[in-house]
Order: sequence, then structure tokens, then C-alpha cells
Amino acid sequence: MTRWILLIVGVVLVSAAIPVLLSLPPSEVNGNGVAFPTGSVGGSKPAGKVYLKGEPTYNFGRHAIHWKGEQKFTIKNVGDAPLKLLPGSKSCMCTVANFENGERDFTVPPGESTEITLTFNTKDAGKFDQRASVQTSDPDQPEIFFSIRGEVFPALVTNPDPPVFDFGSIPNDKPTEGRMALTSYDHTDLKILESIPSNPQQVGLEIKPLSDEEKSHLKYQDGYRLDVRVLPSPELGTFAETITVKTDHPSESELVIQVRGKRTGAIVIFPEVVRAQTTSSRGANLSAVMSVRDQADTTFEVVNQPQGVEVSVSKAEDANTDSKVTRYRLALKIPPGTPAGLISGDVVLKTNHPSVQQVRVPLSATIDAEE
Amino acid sequence: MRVTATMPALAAILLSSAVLVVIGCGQSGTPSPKETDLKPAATNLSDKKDPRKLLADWPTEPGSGFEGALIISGQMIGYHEPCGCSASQKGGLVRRATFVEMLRERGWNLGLIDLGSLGQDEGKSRGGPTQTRLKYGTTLRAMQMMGYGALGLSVDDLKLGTGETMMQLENTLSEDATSLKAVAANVTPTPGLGFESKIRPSVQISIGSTRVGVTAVIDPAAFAALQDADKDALITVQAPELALPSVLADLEKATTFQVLMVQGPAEMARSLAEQFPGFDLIVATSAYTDAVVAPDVLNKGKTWLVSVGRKGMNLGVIGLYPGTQEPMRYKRVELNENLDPLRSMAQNVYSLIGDDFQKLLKETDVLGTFPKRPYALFDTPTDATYVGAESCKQCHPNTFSKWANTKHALAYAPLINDPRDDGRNREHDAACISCHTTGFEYAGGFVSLERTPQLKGNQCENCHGPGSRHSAEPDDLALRRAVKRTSDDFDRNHRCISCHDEDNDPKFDFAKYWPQVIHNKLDDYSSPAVHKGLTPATAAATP
Repeated sequence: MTRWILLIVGVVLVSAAIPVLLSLPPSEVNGNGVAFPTGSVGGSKPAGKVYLKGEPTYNFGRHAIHWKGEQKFTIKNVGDAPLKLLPGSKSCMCTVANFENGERDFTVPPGESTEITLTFNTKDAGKFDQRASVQTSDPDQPEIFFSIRGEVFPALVTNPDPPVFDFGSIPNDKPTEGRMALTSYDHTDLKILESIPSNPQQVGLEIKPLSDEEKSHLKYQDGYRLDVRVLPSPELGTFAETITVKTDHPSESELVIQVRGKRTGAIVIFPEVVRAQTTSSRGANLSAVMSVRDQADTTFEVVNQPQGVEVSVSKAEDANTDSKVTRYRLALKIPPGTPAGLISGDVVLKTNHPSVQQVRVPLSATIDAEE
Repeated sequence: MRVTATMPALAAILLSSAVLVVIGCGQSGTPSPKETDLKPAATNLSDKKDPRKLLADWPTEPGSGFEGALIISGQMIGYHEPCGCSASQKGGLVRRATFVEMLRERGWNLGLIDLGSLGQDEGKSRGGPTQTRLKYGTTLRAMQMMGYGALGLSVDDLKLGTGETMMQLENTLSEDATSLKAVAANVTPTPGLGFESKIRPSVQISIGSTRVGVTAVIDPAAFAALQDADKDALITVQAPELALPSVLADLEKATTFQVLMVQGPAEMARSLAEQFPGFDLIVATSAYTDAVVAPDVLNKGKTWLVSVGRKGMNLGVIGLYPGTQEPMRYKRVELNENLDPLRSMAQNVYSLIGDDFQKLLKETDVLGTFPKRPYALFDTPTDATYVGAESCKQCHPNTFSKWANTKHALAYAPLINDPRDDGRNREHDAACISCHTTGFEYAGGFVSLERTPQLKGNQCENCHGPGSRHSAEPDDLALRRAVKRTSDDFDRNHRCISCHDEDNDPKFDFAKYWPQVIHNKLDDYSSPAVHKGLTPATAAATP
């Protein structure tokens, strides 16, 4: 009999422990076991208690850009004292509407519910995942996190996105082409009204409907293929042009395609600027690569170099060189012991190439006194 | 039914087991292992505010099995400072370095790896190509300072120019064996060009006594789509499935914990995780700004898959407890303003990102070399240039007065002395200048305070377009139409949002702000003087 009494007492104690353990906030629980909360548990002191109806996450799905979303979450106070709610943290684009008019907090009486409204304003295309929280006076749940997610697509959808062609270094004596696709998810019968290149002598655009194969590949229902062409020009150096495409899209009618790059002659050098940060005791071994077109053997003579920098040029025996391009390696040595300071200047090389008399390689190196 | 003496005991055991199961389920502290379930655990407010309490609940005492932590970052996409200039933005390399130093101060052994995509696509960057390249190099230096061991090579970073990226790695990364290396198992640099030693198939990092092997792959399809005429002559990319078996086999011989960073679509990461279950941890790219709350558990618990978000707002931290029942722990760490009071811990990175980088932009004359494009919006003649608000004032004095009392007119001042940034000067930062001056991106627009002082601040021509032709021929109706703007012009094409964007003005509401700047019919044009037009000489002579 004693055994039965002990068993019943044991079962009662264990059963009573289950809800207590289940009510522990996760932050009080760690991998090494259960830490009992420091505050009161189980109602010895009156407290507001949060009951969240439904999930604290909501997926808005897909929408056009600049759409404004709103989602309500219901919190019920199932405690025996008023439940105080205060603003918590939030992501950049998420707003807890309840606190937008300067309210510092509000109270939910026992047994009553309130709605927390999250609003979301989309400005950037792409997937979004935003969070906001509300702090509460519930000792078991001091902060409730809400999250919303979804995807926003632009009015005019391009591939590549954004509509920018950065052609890098291109030859100045040949045309260079790039291809882009344009469609709209929310205006499927998109029409292109006109296209205006900023400088028709420099850039051009050809517009065609996408082929079935292209549509299938891009997963577009319909759309256009835009072939951008940079035309040959005697001018060397950077260029930046635009092609404005006017459409009949009701919310965003213009697409401005940026076209830029650098027209080079027969010798292309990278990096654009050789940079280093080192110490006086270490010095530095730096390098650049020069790709030379239209001549198999080019000579380079150093005619200028920043003071204290040793310069040498060697032909790179790279395996992938095609027959039209020869590569050279420019080695720049800042010897150990070079005084601290800034080395800034151009390495100037004279060449025997028929179309490039000399090349400049900017060097900028900061030499620190010590580690 | 006969109750035997053993039944009560059995009942008690079953009930106790149930209790233990309940406790056991709750005690892991890790939310659902699915990325799609974003229900985070409630945390204590005081823990959120005090950065020193970050990860303080992880057992690290002797006997806990704690070896140290692997810090994972990735997809910074150019945000080496917090994501924009509005308050309470997250991220930044200084906060990252602060967090790392804070853990080191606790005596933690750390390994740092980055998925790659450090730089912002030049097409999306306001700073322009030169600044983007300078930022890439500066970020590499900051990562070396922090003690990073591995950086995944990415097609995003090759958009700087494959040759440019390779040579920056060559000239910036140290030869020291333990210093930062770029990693890509399926990329082979062309021998003979000099940078082959800086791209490794894998690297090994020590975290306590745990040897961690790290490798990475890039997506061959993304490389094929890269617009770069030189790329194939400089590097060769093969299918990850071909490159990984031998790399993984080597790592399994030499290390006890293997990590694969996948620079490709998230589906590719998942597929490789399943094909190569030898990896303990897969780091995938993310379409979202925040890191996952909990890892995705694959291969019957052997492999964890995580993504750490975009813009450098978060870090993923993996705690290593080899040989224990819970050999890994994961925590997403948000790099927010709570870390700022401890910034002195990362003084070197703070100086590099703040002072040195701004100095570099000035020395390089990023503003002067910014590639300007013609203004090609509305029907503005492409040969029109910017004249400045003082010229507009000659005929539109009341409109000028209204503008002069708006924040647009005062937009340049924060660049001289940024009150939210220790008074730092950002007058040479093209990414800032583009929204605080007039016509910076366009031919004939702002270049620098010295060269174009008349175009500082957000003036009339940012909305109306360059006004030289209209100011010279004010009675030309076509030119008047070309500078006329309606609310629909701006609201419909969302032009204000080019500056008032998600990063820099997340709460911008066109309907709310438009009434503050609208200036219909404020001026009287009855005087013959306003119909004469300003010649370039008279425009230049205006104060």
C-alpha cells in the first residue's frame, strides 16, 4: 500500500512538473540541461500572458515592386493581469503599425486580444525576409518575433539585371556586342515604343521578339531580345553611354540601359592600378599582366619608374594564350628597407608595337614603418 | 485485469521517459531545422542589448568539449559599412571585426571563412568602377587584418574583370601559409601568369586541436555567362562534381571537419551536399538579407547546410564540440549598433575602412575619373549641361527660396562632417556624392567641390534635368516642356527612389514628401528680363 501511495505521489509530482517544464522560455534552456527561470512560474504572482494565434511568420508570395503589404497577428492575454506591449526591434523595411504614431506602449486587459499589424513597403526587387518584434510584460515570453517574407519583381524585368553592360576592356577597332532580354510579369503584352541611344555613333540597339527557345530558357511568357552593340571608335579610354527604351508599361515606362567600358588599343593591362600596403622591413613583390594583340614579339623599355621601385618585364609562358594575344608579366619590386611613406607614380614603358608607342601602369603603395 | 507489483514501476518508468523526451526535445535550443521555418526562439532583451552576452550561453568551460568556433560570412556585395546611411542599419566590417575580437578576448579559438561576393555589381554600385575595385582591395586587407583563412572565389567578384580580380588577389594576399587564401576547387588559374599560388583548391585551418578543411566551388554556368573577353585565357572552370572527389579525399585524410562553400544557386549547394556527404558543413548563397535561424540538416544529420544572408548584416557561428553528443552548435549573429560601444577593439579595421579608404578615394580622384553618361531622360537635349541653382534663381526666385529651405538644398553638409560617423569627411566617396550633389552621374554634372562648387547639394536640375539649353532659350516651348515635371513623372517611374531607397530611406513615402517639395506657379514671368535668357557667360557670372 505504501508503495502505491508513493507511486501516486510520484506521478502527481511528475505530472505537475510537465507543464512547468513546457512553459520554460527557450532562452532558459541550453544544451547542458534545463535551467529553471529566475522569475515566478505557475501563477504565484499575477502576470499578463501571451497567447499568439497562429504562426508568427507569413509569406506574402510574389508581388510587383512598390506594392505595400500588411499582415495582422493576433495576441491574446491569457494571463491574470494586464499585458503590456512595447516596440521591439525591426528590420529596415518592416513597420509595426501599432507604434507608428508615437505610442510607447499599450496594454491588453486579461482575456482580451489585440492585433499587431506589420506593414511592408517594397522598394527593391528580389526576395525579402523581414522581421519585427514586440516586447511584452509576460515573464515567460519577453519578446515575440514576427517575420514576413516574399518576393518582389520589377515592372520591367531584364536579364541581366540590372540593365547594365560593363564590357570592361574592349578593342577600339572592332564592334563589341552584348545581349539582353526584357519582359514584364504584370503587363504581358508589353510593347516597346522606341529606343533612344545617347550617342548613335557610339552605341546601337536591335530589338527582336524572343524566340520560343529563348523564352523557354528564360522562363518568360513573352518578351524581347535587345542586342546592344558598341561601335568601333578611334577614341581610346573609358566610355559611358545609355540607351533609353520607352515602353507602354503603365507603372514604369522607361528602361535606361547603361553601356560602359574602356576602349583599349592593342595592349590591355590589369590591374587598373597596382596597389600595395606593406611594411618597410617586408617590402613587396607586385605584378601586372599586359595582353598584347596583333604582334607576337613586343619589346618594352622602361622609360620611367617611381623612385626606389625595381621594374622588369618578361614574356608569360601561359598555356592558354591564343595565337592572337601574347601576354607579358610586369614585375614591380619594392625592396625591403624602403623607407616608410607613399610611393605613387606611373611606370612608363616604351614599346615597339606599331599602334601603341608607350603604356602607363599606375602604382600606389603605402609603406608602413612597422607591423 | 490483474495489477502486478511490477506495473506501477513500469508506469513510472514510462511516464518518466515521456518527461525526459519532452525535456530532451526542448533542450536543444535549436529551432526547426528547416530554413523555411523562421520561428526564432525568444531571447532576453538584455542579451540583445549587451553584445558581451552574445553566445554566452554556449558551454565553454573545461570538460564541455568546446574547441572554438568557425565564423562564417559571405555575400557582402559591397556593404563594407552598414547597409545605407539611415539610422539603425545593420552590418559593416568594423562591427564584424569587433565581434571577432570580442570572442578572441574571451580566449576562443576562431577560424574565419567567407563565401565570397565581396564586391557590389558595378551596375548596382553608385561608386562606379574604380571605387568598386578599390573597395574590393580594401576589403581583402580588412579580412587579412581580422585573420580570415579562406575566401571563396565568386563570379560576382570576377565581374570586376577576371584579370583585375586575379591581380588584386596576387598583389594583396600575403604569401604566409596561415594567411587568407582564395579558395576554389574547380578553378584552375592559367600557369605562368603569376597568380596561380593565390587560388587554392582547399585550405586547412586550426581551431583548437580541430583541423578544419575548407574548399569552395563556383557555378560554371555563371562563369560562362560572365561578360569578359579575357576570362577563358586566365582561368579554367570545371564542373564541381569532377573537382570535388579528389579535394574531399585529400581533406578527409588531413582534417577532421570538412567545409564546402558553394558559390552558385542554393539548389546547387543542396545537390552537392547530397552527392558529397563527407562534408560536415555546406555554406550556400542566400537570396535573403538575414542568415538562417537554424541549419538545414541533411544526410541523416551528418551534414549541416547554412546560408548567412546578404549585405554582411549577419554572421553564422558554428561552435565545435568534437566527440560530444552535440558536436556542432549554430547561432546567427546580427551585426547591429549594440556592438558599436566596443568598437575600440577593432581600431585597425576601423581606421582602414573609415579613414584610409576615404583617403584612398581622394588620392585616386575617384570623383574626377567617374564615367559620366549623357542625361537621357525625358526629352532633354543630350548636349544640355548643368548650370546650378543660382542660375535658375535669376528667373525663378520664389521657387529658389522654397527649395533653399528644404533638406535637398542642405544635402552636401553631412558629407563634410557626418554627425553619425565621428564627423568623418566623405566628400570623395562617389557612392555618397551621387545622392548629395547635382548631376554627378551625368556629363556636365558635379565633379568635386573645387571644380563644380555651384552643383553641391540636391538642386533643381536633379529633377528637371540639365538646364543650359532652357536657361539660354527660355521661350523655346520644346525646351520648356523638356524641363517640366509632374508628380506622375516621378511617382510613375519611381525616380525619387534612386536615392530614397531601401538602404538609405526605408520609410520614404512619395505621397507624404511630394507636398513638401512641390512648387507650382510661385513666380511671375511678366518681366522682359526673364525672357532674355542666360548666356553661358551670364550664367557663370551669377554668384
